[in-house]
Amino acid sequence: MHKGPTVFGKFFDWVDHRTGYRSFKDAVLLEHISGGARWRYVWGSCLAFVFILQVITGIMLMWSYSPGDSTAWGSVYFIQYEMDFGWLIRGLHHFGSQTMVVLLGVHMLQVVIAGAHLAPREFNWWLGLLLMGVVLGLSLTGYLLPWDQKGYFATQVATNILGSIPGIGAFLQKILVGGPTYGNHTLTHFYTLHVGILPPLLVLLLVLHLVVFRRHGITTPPVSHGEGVLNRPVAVVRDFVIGGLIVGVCLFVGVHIVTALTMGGMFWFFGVSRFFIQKRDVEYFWPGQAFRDLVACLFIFAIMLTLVIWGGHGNKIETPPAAEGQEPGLYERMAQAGRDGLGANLDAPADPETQGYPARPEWYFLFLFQLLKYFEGPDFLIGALVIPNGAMLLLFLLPLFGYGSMRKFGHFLGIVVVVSLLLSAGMLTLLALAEDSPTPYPLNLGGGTKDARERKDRFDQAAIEAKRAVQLAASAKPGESNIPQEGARELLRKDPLTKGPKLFEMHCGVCHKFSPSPNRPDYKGWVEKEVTPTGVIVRVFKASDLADYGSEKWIRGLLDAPADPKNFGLTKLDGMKKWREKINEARADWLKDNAEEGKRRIAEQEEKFDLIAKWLAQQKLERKFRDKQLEIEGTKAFEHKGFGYCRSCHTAELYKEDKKEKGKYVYEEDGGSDGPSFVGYGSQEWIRLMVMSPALRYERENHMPAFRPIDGPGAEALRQEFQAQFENTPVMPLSDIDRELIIRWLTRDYRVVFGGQTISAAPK
Amino acid sequence: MADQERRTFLKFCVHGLGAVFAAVLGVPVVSYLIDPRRRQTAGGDLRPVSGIRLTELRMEIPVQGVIRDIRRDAWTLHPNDTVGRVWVMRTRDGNSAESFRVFTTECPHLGCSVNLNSDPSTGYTCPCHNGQFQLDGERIGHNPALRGMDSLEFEVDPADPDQLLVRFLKFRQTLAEKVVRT
Ligand code: HEM
Ligand code: FES
Repeated sequence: MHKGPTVFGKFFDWVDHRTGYRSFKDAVLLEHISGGARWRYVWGSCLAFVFILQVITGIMLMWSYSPGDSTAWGSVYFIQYEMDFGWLIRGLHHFGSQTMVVLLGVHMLQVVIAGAHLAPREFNWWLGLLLMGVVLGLSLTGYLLPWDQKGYFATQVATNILGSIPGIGAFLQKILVGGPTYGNHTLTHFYTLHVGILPPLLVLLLVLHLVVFRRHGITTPPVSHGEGVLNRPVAVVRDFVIGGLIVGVCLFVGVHIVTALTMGGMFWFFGVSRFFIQKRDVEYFWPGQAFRDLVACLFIFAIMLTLVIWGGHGNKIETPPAAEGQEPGLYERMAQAGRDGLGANLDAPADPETQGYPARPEWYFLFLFQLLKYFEGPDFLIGALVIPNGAMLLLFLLPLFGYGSMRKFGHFLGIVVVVSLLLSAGMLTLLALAEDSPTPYPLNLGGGTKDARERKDRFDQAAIEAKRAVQLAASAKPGESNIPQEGARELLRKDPLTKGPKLFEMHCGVCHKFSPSPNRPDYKGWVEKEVTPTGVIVRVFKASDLADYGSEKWIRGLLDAPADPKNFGLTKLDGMKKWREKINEARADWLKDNAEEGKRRIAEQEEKFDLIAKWLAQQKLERKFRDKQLEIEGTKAFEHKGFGYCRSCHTAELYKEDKKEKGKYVYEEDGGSDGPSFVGYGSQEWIRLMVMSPALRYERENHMPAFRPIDGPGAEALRQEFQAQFENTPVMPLSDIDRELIIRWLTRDYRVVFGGQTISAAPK
Repeated sequence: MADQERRTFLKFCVHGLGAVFAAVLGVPVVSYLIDPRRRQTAGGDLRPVSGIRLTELRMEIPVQGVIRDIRRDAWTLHPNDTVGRVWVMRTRDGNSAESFRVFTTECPHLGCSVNLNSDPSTGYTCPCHNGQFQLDGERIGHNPALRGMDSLEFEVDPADPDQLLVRFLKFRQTLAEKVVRT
């Protein structure tokens, strides 16, 4: 800093006199680097840089994160999708952890290639290994914090491995997890480890690592003794080849091209720079090496940015387009880019109720995950504990092979061990990826199996649920989200689109079919014969097909063929069947009397049926949304005596001209009561009555059980009253919320159900 | 001297690149930290007061009512939560704008909830720093508050003569004048 007579200078002189900071600074910056500054020394600094970035972004996240079973997902959601630049902060932290793991590998490789793990630097190697353990610990604990499905299920594998340690394992697991199952204390424990224990430990180890490092200085590669400079063209070609290889591998495993090119570009930049750099024999850290370190760090930062921006890891929130003149400006668009899908991945909220979630750890732990697959039964411990810990032990022992005449061998052994460990880990990772791939990998690496395709379905479903959860949590206005205080998992549990079909299958599907329908592109349907990977499921139905129930087409189909199994064919409901028989007989007579005239009359009747179907299909709407002309025409057809006379059995809302006032139309509820009422036919209220009290709709002929909540206070009284009135109708349990979920799904109203109240209005 | 120049150049680059990086990270970090500035206070619309039937109010005796509304707490949505309380007092017969007096219970000093004295005719006392107010909200005696209790705009529900509607707002504390807090 400034010295001398300026005010600044005097101030710093004064500070230096009291603190001695200048000599401290010099001691730090003026490290001797014999052989001069080099690109190959940057990796350690890059690691430290990313760690500092993790600390900064981590503290930012703590500003808004809330560990807790009902709050964690919501708070991470809020960071990622609602807070200004939250997507960037979280994205950098998310990819920072992955970057650190990669850099650890590179740093380690560079250390053994230089032989820097050998005497007198053993302690530094050991400290490095401890640092690696801490970083992996941070990654593992961090992965759980968002409390999404992926972290929740993958981390259980890790804590179960802890539990498998003979003797003390079960105890340790219970303490770490904070009880027998995952919950609030799992999060508080992991959170404390992640932000309160492991980072300070890492800082401590890092400081020791650096102090010990300074004692012996950097290990210069053998080539710099003697000729002093590595043959320049060779180095340039090498850099270009490394860069190219990296780009190739990245593209192969599906990394975005911008990211791949930034990674490769770093090495190409190193290569090109060699034409401008003069090597010197001795140089200080400052500024030559510092400059290189900084450039490399900025490259790393740029790579992380490309991952956050182009990684495609977030989910886009679909919102209605902004009103004219209210479009977000450039700042808003950038600050809230999380809503466009930028940032880090957030899976659906953790839900212990989930069946068969395909838990996968973060990619850098996949090799350990894959290793587990090769050991059966009691051999499990070999894959889970013996091999990984054996590898660590081997790494710990490496420096001991560096004494005296063994040194050359030790150097060689280090390279062999580290390279083969990295290669095996890489290979196992590739195998794990291949095994999950629905299309086969080249070279018979795996994939393309039935299991993999099935798992792909499960992954796809998880992705759909993740997207849906985010959509339900968001409101149209950035900064306002709709997560209930019971916790984010309730969003999907009470989402008609997600839960409706499952509940339908469980409660209604025992009797009702649901054919695949173009109106439900995301539902596979519920049919007599389903081929699943585990075998063929055959179902026997006893009632109508409810696909598109209440639509014009459905009603028209019923009028055509009430006895068809997809209508009332399987039920004991006879009214409509008899009606149709009469129609058919009459038609046969018409044709017999006069073929021409008969055909005309049939066509006329068919038109009337079309009209009735159309009219009945709009009864589910509120009166004000119904087509008035159709109401008038429909009422006429409903009352038409030519065929069977609907109103002799059914009651409907008739829309007719007022008797007193000409030209004025009024509603009047009238008709018979042998068949079900058409008042509000197909509406949620109609279905609700049908579900809770089918006998009110179909009286004696009814065979559908009544579905009611039967375990709340007061429910028993209602049940007994109901049975007293309808003794033949069995009562089945169905909670209010589950019933509403089914009804909303049937009527394609996909808003979340909240204790019967709609809180979230996803597009209808 | 060439070496000196090279060193100077490199130092310049290091400082420059460092500054660029600090800006790229610094702007988002600051925006993120001050994100709460975008969050809005609940209220502002006419809301029904629950717990009070206007026709049953006795003259000059304040009764406390509750205002419920949507409340957003960062990520959590409370669809129907208590967002505030009001003291409502009848001052005259009928249901006109002069028939009632409505105050928020939030003390204008530092925001504690103001209590009605056990003898209602003597007015209100704040439990925190003994701010005392008359029934008309004016300050009494030596008082830490710089203004009287904050009155709120109200209307009687045209469809229900028992139902009071209040435009519930929060006001900044400690000031001598009433300023809405957003
Ligand atoms: C080398 C250091 C670190 C690594 C490897 C690391 C790793 C991780 C990982 C993998 C996650 C999950 C991220 C996600 O899925 O979005 C995470 C989350 C988190 N980390 Fe770190 N972390 C490190 C340091 C820190 C530090 C120092 C702090 C705070 C002082 C911190 C605070 C947090 C918080 C609050 C979360 C939860 C929010 C979220 O998931 O988005 N981390 N960390
Ligand atoms: S807050 Fe009421 S007197 Fe201080």
